[in-house]
Amino acid sequence: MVRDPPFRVDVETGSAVPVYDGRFGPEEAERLLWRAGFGPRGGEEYALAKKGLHRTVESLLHPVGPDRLIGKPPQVDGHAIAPKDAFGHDHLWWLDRMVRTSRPLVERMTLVWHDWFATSNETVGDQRIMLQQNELFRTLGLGSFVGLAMRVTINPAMLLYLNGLNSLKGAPNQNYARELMELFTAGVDAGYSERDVHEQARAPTGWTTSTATAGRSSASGARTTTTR
Amino acid sequence: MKVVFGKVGALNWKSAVKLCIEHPKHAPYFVNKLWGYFISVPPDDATRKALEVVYVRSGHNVRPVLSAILKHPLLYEGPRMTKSPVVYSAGLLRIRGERITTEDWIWVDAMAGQQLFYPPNVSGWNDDSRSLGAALTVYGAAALAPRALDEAIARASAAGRNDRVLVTIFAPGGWDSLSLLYPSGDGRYRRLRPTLALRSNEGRKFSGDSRLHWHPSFEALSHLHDHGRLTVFPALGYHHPDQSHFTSRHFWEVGVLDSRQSTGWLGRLLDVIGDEDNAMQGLSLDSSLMPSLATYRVPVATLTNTTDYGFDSHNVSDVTGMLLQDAIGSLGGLIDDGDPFQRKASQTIGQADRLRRQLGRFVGEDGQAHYNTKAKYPETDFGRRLAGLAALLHAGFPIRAVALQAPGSYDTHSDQPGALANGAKEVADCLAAFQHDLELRHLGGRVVTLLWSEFGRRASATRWWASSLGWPAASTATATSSTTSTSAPSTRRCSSTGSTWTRTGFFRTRRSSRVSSWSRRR
Repeated sequence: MVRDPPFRVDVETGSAVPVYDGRFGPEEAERLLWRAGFGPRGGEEYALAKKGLHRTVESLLHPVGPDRLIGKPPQVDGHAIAPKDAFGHDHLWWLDRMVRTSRPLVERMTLVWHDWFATSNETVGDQRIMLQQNELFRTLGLGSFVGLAMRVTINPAMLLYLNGLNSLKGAPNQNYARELMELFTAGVDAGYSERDVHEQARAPTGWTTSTATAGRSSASGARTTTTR
Repeated sequence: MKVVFGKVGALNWKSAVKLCIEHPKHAPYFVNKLWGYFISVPPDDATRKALEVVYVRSGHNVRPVLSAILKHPLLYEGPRMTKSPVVYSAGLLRIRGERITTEDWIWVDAMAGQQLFYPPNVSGWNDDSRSLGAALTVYGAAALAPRALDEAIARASAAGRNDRVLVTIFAPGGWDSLSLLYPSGDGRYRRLRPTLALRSNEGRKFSGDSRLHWHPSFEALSHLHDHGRLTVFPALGYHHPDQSHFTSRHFWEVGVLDSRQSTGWLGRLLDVIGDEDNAMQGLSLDSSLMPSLATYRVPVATLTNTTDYGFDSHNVSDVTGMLLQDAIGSLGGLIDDGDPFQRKASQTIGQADRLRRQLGRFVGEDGQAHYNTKAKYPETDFGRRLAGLAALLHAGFPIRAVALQAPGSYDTHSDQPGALANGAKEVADCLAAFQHDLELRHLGGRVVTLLWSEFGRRASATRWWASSLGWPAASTATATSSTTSTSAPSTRRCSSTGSTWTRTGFFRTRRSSRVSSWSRRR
């Protein structure tokens, strides 16, 4: 289980970012709930309006209590859903979390990271591996971006998706390195060279994924090009 | 030893990731991108810099940046933001305190373009596209009253079965007159184009001027010309040609020599003759809006492909397809009270569904399009799009103007003759089939097709100059003859440098004077 790194800087002290100081009524709370979550559950916007902007944002950023889903679990044709097996039930499983979560921002950020580090089961071909990546986004989503990017780099779904698994010595695959720089961290015009891409590609080689164990990445020193 | 971003040293994957995050472009990239998920207008420079400081000082932590974004005035005072399909679906259930009881939610979101765990590519879902049902996008729909779109399309469909239709097809990358309708016996043509010139016996003779020959790839069009179905406007140009492909194309698309003009020449026509609520009147058969159709006042739509309304995603069977239709239809009717924004969203889903049902009738049990045509289209994407368009027109969709792009790009510089011949043949064969199809459907008198290119070569093979070719193809004598101009270019009119020749037409005046009156006729 990965834990969030400690929260080091309080943005309310010493930040030059403008802060909204207008009315924070139910309408504003509702807008925030749509942006930072999936809309208000019945009456939720009134409760948050009473809390005020700062306490509301704090409660979204630091949810207290156990991570629980509110209400009855989904049923399809009288049966529980099977997210690891049935086609499309992975979608239902996550949609259900969005509907019933008590931590809307955590779930919303999980969706943000799914878009940011976009990985498709079209290529990965195993819902269990996709769900494992999903849990990674949920667990690390509000913490250190460095930690997140590190874990994504060796995440089985991502490795499979960007052909990182074929990134063997002698034939470094440039996909992951390129996307890491262009899409995930620095943008398309970050001023790196072809050589940077190539050198990057050499760095992560040697990782393997076992689909049978639903994706625990492990390093195999024999195939690396560099020392760890 | 490894060298990344100019830093040398032993590098493992961890230090590679760290290097990326320490890259000076990372903090601005991160802050901008994260901001974009929550606020629809970009941050000002001061805000962005302040957010970067928050991010870097926190040791690259997400939470503090998120906190600042969620408290920013623009989130509360800025414009509304489009909800992604999944956020919208989850919100519908969450607000109503309901739970998932049907698999239909998979298809509802997939059809709307967002199936979780299946992003379209490594860039994720494109938040900019207001994609409805994945294939149809309505531009300007936000200004419409609920249901107006449906009703207008129904009304216009009933009333407008005899409306005239203008189809404009952009052929990218320099189809010039001297290549496609070449002066075969002209010695200067051969001197100026030693490598590109066609042999004197290639292609059929042009019946309008015996000195000219058709490019062999255009044989299908030459027959249309001989039968009075086709007119040629060679060597069109404008004063002081801008030698950029992009600028020249823009000028042709907007119909004025103004790089800031944002409405297209057809868009402005629709603003005059169109309805305020019929988005089908201007149809871009493309993945994005063709600039010539951009309007100021009235809505228009893009339709990637009529068959995209079939259910070809992820092993969906016909039975599931039926379920899908029902699911989407019922979603459109889910909310009729409360938030007007939600009402609008469910309304547009319902609208897309109804349109999809109408379009879906062209898709057979095999998932392929069946347009019930006897015309022989080449088996290419362009051919299928034109076949679909003929079927849409025949089915009575209230379409007034259509824009699409021809396949291929001829601006190859290397192997231009080969690339041009292949692309031109496909386009010519498809257009001939389209014209045949229209006539079989008794639509020939209603439809004029304009094929044009933004750019031609200079007479000298090594240089360029902006020109345009237009082929309005119509079966009625009036449409053809009223816009006919077959004065041909001649290399004798070239200046001594061979850099240009006299224009035989001025596209803008030709279009604006004819099109408006022609389009109004029934």
